[in-house]
Amino acid sequence: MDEAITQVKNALEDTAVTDAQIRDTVWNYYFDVDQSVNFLRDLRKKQENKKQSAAKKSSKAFHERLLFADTVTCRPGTGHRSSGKLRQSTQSSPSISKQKTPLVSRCQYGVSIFDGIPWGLPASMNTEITYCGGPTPRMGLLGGSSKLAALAKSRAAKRQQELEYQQQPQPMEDVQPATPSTPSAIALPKSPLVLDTAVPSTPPASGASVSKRLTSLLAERSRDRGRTTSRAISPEKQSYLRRTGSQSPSVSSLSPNSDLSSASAVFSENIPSSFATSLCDSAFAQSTFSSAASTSSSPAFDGMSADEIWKMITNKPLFYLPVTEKQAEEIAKNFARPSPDDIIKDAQATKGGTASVTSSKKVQPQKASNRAGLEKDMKSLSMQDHSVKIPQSRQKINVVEAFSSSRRKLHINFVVLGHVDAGKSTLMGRLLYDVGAIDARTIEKYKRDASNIGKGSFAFAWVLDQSAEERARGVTMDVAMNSFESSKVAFTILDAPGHKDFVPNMIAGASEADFAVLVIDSSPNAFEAGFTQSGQTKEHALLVRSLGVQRIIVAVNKLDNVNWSEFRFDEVKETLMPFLSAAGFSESQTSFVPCSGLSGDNIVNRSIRPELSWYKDRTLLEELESLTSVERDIGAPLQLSVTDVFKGGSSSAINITGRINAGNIQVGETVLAVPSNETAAVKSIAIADQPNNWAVAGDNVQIALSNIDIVHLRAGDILCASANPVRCAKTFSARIIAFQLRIPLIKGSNVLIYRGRTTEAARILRLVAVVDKNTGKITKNKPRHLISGQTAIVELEVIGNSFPMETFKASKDLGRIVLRQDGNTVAAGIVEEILSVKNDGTRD
Amino acid sequence: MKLISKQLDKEGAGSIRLQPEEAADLWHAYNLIHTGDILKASTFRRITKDKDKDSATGFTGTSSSSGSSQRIQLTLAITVQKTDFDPSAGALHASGPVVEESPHVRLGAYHTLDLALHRAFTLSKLPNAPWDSVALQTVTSACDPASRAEVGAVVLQPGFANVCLVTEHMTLLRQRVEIAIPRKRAADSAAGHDKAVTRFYAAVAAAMSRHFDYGNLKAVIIASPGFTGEQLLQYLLDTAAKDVDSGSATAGTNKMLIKSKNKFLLVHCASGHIHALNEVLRAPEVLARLADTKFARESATLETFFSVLNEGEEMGGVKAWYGPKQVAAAVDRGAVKTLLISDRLFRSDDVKKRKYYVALVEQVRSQGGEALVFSSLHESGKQLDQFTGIAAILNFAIPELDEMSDDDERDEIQIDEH
Repeated sequence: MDEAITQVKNALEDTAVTDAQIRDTVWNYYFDVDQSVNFLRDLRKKQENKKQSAAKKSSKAFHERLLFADTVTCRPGTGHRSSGKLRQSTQSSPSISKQKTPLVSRCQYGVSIFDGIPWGLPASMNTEITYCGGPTPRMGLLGGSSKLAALAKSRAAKRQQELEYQQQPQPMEDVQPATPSTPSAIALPKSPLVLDTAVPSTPPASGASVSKRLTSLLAERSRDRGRTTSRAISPEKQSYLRRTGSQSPSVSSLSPNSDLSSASAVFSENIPSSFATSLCDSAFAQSTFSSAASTSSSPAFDGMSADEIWKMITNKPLFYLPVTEKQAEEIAKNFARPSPDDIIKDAQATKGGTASVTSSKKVQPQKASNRAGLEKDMKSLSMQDHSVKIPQSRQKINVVEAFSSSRRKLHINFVVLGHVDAGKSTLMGRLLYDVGAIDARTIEKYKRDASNIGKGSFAFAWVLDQSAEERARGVTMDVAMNSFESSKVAFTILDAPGHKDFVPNMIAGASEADFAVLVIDSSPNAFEAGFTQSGQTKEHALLVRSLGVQRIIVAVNKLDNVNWSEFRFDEVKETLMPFLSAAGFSESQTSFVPCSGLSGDNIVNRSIRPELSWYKDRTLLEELESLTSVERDIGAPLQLSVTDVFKGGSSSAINITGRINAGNIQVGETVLAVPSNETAAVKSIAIADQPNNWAVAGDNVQIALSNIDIVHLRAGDILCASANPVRCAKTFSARIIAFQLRIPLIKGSNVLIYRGRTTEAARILRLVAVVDKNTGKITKNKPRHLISGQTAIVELEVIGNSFPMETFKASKDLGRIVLRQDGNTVAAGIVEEILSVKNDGTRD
Repeated sequence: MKLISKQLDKEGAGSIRLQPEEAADLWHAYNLIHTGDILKASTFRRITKDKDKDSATGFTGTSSSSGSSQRIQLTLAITVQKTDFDPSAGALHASGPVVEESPHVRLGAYHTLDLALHRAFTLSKLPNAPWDSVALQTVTSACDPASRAEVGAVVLQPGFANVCLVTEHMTLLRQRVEIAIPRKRAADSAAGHDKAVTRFYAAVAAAMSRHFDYGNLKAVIIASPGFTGEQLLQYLLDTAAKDVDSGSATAGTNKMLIKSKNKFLLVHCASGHIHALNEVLRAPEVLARLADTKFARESATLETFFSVLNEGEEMGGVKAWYGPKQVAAAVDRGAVKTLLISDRLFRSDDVKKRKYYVALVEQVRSQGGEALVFSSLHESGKQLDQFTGIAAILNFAIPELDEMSDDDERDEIQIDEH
């Protein structure tokens, strides 16, 4: 930070620009020195051009002025004038921001609100404005819905009129922070007090006393606030503000009686987004005041610095009231005074107004999840936004910061595995039903339909087996994805097919999973059948382990078929455990749950059957919830595995679904599709059908892309950051573990490489060496062939299309491969080195 | 192939006149024609006649302005220097200098002969590289009318299909169909999936009717994992029936399709990739119908080789080996039960190498072993080519083979002078 400031200072060679100003600018440009310098230069030029009467003041003088202004503003009639003056003075003496960083940053948001607000509003309204500032819009216009535009226009007109009336030189540019080219309103340092001065209090408030001391300034403000909110029009104002795009959440549950507490509550609306908070000084982070403190009485504030109060306030949660559109229109009518219309300024005002909306959209994901009310509020806003065209120069979101401050629910993907007919889909259908993700009516319908075709027991499986063919045949064919949330965790179920022919689909599912649920059919002989060499129980378990899954829950299903026998459960457990440990699942990472998908015992609800009283441990859901998330590298360059490509229903956009393996993605970003090497722009992102502006590693997302033709995309492709393209291997070396082989692997063996949805034919170019499984030492060079269980280093050549991959070292997800031959999994391995690449973007 | 005449001396030198009858015969011809042989065939050549000279120079283009050029048919004999075969187009070219005098072409002038169907050619082999047993066997099998079985095969998986023709000696990939099928999702865009699936089946069906002559095919194999093949067959029959009813332009083909309904063979395989054909061709239901065919025998033998190789360790030593050195050593010990050898090895430009492998084959046969020459145009042969092109299943294990180092990385055969 300091370094950047010094750099900018040096670059500017201008002492007139204060540190704080620079600091703000540098912040705003994400420490881009060049841009900051440019901006500051521009800013200075503008200031000179304006020939403003107010000279540059020292920060001390400014303080005095503020004090003065504040007292003045409370008097009717003088408000406008002082506000104008003060605004200028703050522009020229930004050093105040240095002393009150949090306040300044907050006020910056407030300032932007003024763009959209005529100064001639009723005092109460202005008060509202002061407090309701959202984060500064940092980007260009959204285009704007017609309603918004109209409102913004009228506001601008009004402001213009007001300005002229005041005969004050009041250049709009200065308070026009958000033009598309200079998304840097923050750089105009303004004290929050400026906002207060803008509270001209035309109608004197009810007997609220006006404090003349600076220290009590905030208290005064809050009182003012409380007063305002106690009025009936309060929600309307809010709605007005919202409609004008100032993104002020409505103040709903403010108590008219408790000035301070309500005021502080309102204050917290003003809290910069968590994103901004994290950008700000640590002062925010260090905020130690409990929210309870804010309920203290007014005298308690006297001794506090504004900073302290601010800190305290930031801890307050909020509540909001929905506001009707009608109310909003009423408010709008209030300002329908005729005014001279400056077209340019109009346009600017429109920009400012709509930009605010954009900001609200941006803020949405950053809100803490405990602010449910606000979230809701925001969602309604963002719905509006979606009809709006995406601005070209969208400001980059620092997703890592946004993510760390968003406190989303823990998101876990788990894959459901097991031999065919083990009851995977039924078990998951039951789970979804019991947690309430599926309503009883749907299940009833499935039950009816299923029994109509003589498959009554398949009703729950139909929750996941959606396609007509899957239902008719009674087998899962493709991975079904379903989501549900428990109180603690948001889960995504990947219900893998058990049939041997669909193992590729199972691999696709398993490669998206953090954890695995292995379903065992405990019916007589069924378990044994699934556990044979050709059964899928073993293959699935080995595969999922070699795909990097370490934690496995074994659901011993269909126990109702063996009369809930504990003996059978133990038998299954004892047969399975040695195999699982050999496969690489540690005992602590493996748990067994006796259950029945059909009856629902021990799935979500603990079984109350006396026959099952021997089991006291956790139910399946409890086991799932006990899982902890895996670490994901969300700051790394983007790597997203495409699982599906399809054209959107109504829109012409190309949609993809996929899983983010590493890094993050945000709306507006340009990504590179590999292997076609075509770039595409991210138009929108949805996580679990909820629109979001960004997504991070581990998320399963649906993304609408523009500027790309559908022929360049295919399931199995990788989307990556264009700066860090994923390579497309033609030949590579890998360390593989041979599974149970029917025929040995020799030089020239044709295999299919699988990784996620990506499949490609390949052949073994060379067997480099057999290595010891445990020590990794080479035991034999250039073996003639590999037999079951051997670990070896081999070189593979991709036949046909090249294969986007990374070494295992570089990417845990993209560096894992599975080799299959003639429908059998012959080996799993990790990519050691990419020997030659084919990156010409062609497909064969 | 039609054998028109055969004039060989005791050592095998001499000429054979053959007439290719079908695409596979060109493949045989390709295997017979080696560098150094003399090939005589009817061909076309553009002749430029100089005004001042009576005879043609044989050079074209040197005096383009003064002379008149004319394309004439003539019979030329060349010493083969290069052969070039395109299996999918069914074209075989052999080029080299002219060795027999001709009124139009100078001796030594280069010419490329295009061997075409139904046009006879004479192939003469010189005493230093005479007709060997393998070549003569090729001629015999090429001229065997019974070996003209042709099978249509489609290997497919959702969104991906290979339409092939499998003849006795060749697998010809006729068309590859690739259509991206979006996954099925919640109700709204499930239509996209179904549409894509229908489009895929339609594309495969179109490819089949274009490349398959249902009347002449011995069988039509449809192989896929899951239910894809089943659905394709259903689609084929449904649309054919509809088509015949409506009496559209393709009704004839489709009538034939319905007639040959019993030729369809539904086989399971692991994937839609072309090398899955290997798995398909050794499937029991295919073997039951096509057991006497060469490709089925090749696939089955290769499979045996692999399984013997795999069970090696437990059975007290490996009884299957590959690589020229190892196989040669095994042949020396008379241990070879089945020799698997790719015809690629007999096409070598090096006469010594050719002779060496022919000797190897003859030795195995004289020892009572079986020598199976794999066609490198079949998937099994391609696979064999991947591991040196020569392998052997042994009667007994030879532990010493394990110690033979495999110095040459590329497994190029170093032939000792013996």
